[in-house]
Amino acid sequence: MRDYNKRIFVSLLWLVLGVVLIALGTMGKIDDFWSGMGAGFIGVGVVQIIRYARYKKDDEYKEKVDTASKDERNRFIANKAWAWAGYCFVMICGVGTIALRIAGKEMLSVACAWAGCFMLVLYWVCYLIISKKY
Amino acid sequence: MVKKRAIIDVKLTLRLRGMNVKNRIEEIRTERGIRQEELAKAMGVSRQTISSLENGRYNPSIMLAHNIAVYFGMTIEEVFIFEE
Repeated sequence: MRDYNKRIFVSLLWLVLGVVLIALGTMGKIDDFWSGMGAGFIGVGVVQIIRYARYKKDDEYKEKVDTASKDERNRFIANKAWAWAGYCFVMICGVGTIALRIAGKEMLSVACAWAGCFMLVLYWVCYLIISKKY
Repeated sequence: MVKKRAIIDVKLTLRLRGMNVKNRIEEIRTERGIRQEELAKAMGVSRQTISSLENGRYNPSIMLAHNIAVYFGMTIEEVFIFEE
């Protein structure tokens, strides 16, 4: 695991941000949506800190995490999963656009179409950037 | 940079030629009484990766193939068999 201290710092930041949001929510300065998000941040922060603490103390766990993060098959699977997820997302957006249009939900249909188009544009931008790198 | 480009070139060439890569990892490993875990640890990969390599479900990168060959004290061609 690289940048261990940086990761701990970021987790603490999530924790502090969560506490601040909940405090502001309790004081009535912000609505429930934000205090709910604060609770989520606290959860993420706590889980991450527990993981990092275990990583530092438990050598077996450290080796397991390091191997998993460096393992080339793992990386290959992760890349493939992202590719599939992106492809499925565009397909679902396409089907959703048509289905929602037929169902008379025009606003949702347009939103679905925009999401699909945005994803395709993002794909091409990423493709151009990566093709320059390799 | 040159290494990365070479790896990509080799992978692309193999794909374009429709070549298959088989390997003798399991055979050599069992002959020498090495466990999958030991090989995985020495290569810095997970045991599942070794298992997938042995079953032919996953093709290794040039670097991993090289490291496995070096570990067995053999050449890449002796461990990995390239088939049309």
